[in-house]
Amino acid sequence: MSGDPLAHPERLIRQVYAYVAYRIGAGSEAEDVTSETFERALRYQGSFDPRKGTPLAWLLGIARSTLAGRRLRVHEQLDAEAAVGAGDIEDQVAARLDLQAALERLDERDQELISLRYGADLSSKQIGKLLGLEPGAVDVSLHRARSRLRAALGEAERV
Amino acid sequence: MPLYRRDRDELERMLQRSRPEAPEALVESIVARVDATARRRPTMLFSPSRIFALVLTLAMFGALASFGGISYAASAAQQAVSAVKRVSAPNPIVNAVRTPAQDEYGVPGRPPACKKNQVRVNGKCVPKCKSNQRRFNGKCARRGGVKGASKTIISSGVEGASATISSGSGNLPFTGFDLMLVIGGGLLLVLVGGALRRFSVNRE
Repeated sequence: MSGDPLAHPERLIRQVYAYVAYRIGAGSEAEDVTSETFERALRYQGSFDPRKGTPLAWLLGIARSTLAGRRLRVHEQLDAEAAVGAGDIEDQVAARLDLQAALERLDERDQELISLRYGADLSSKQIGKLLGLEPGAVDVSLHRARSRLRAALGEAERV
Repeated sequence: MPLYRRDRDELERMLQRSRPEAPEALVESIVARVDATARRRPTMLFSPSRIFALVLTLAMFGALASFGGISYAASAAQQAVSAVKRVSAPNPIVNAVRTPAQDEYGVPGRPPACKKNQVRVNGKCVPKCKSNQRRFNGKCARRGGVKGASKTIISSGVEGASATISSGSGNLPFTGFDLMLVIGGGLLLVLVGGALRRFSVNRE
């Protein structure tokens, strides 16, 4: 593996943004956090150790501490621009809003697991390494998080 | 397909479909910043931290050398090597049984043995010093002087055999600091350094 964690940043930016957006909602706050994450990554690039993990895991660690530092609990709605649409796009936007609302009902840990798995696209093993869990325990926790998310989505539909 | 499996797949598909996409403007701006930083960063053979470490090392060597610490360390190492040599390859006892004539006049080519309360210093038999005294310039004097300096005593036992005894006071030379205290302090500093590094990495 290359010693430079930011040698190919594009994919990493998209993954970090997706993770952050799942955590706090898509929008300008998520963009700010992503931007700040990469600023800090550039500043502390020397601290990256390829033996300890992948560049993505390292960046997600920075993103997590950035989020914790900001204490962001603001969940932005999707852009008004995106909400204006027809047909499939409208359905997609509605689904996204439902999902975002359901995610907000989950506790921190479930949100973290869902964001890492479906936002940052990490494997159970990678999530386990980041959170200090066994891959099996991650799978079990993810299964429970999905169940709670499904229940939250059901509630949202009933409302 | 079982119902729970179908539900799970649908939910996963939904989560993957709804994955937030980073705006292109954000991606481009961050990529540009990363590229600019990569271009600006030269190959840091002499980075500030390396220069600092080098300067600190040289300063420590200079300070040690000015107080004779390096030559002291070298002589201590030499003594240690000779002590190990002596232990691993001791002098053979040639005359285990001697004749009365040899006791009286000594072995030919060797000086006669000293009396019971004498030791041989520079080839002469001189009275032993008291336990609270040490020999300095051939005379017995009260203990003191340079702390931690080693002394060589020629034993009065088997002729030709000598033993080097370090002072064993546990103090460092010149400063008189307690050796264990210094080692403990060093270990503490290493631990603090490690903890600080871990803390800063975690914060990142």
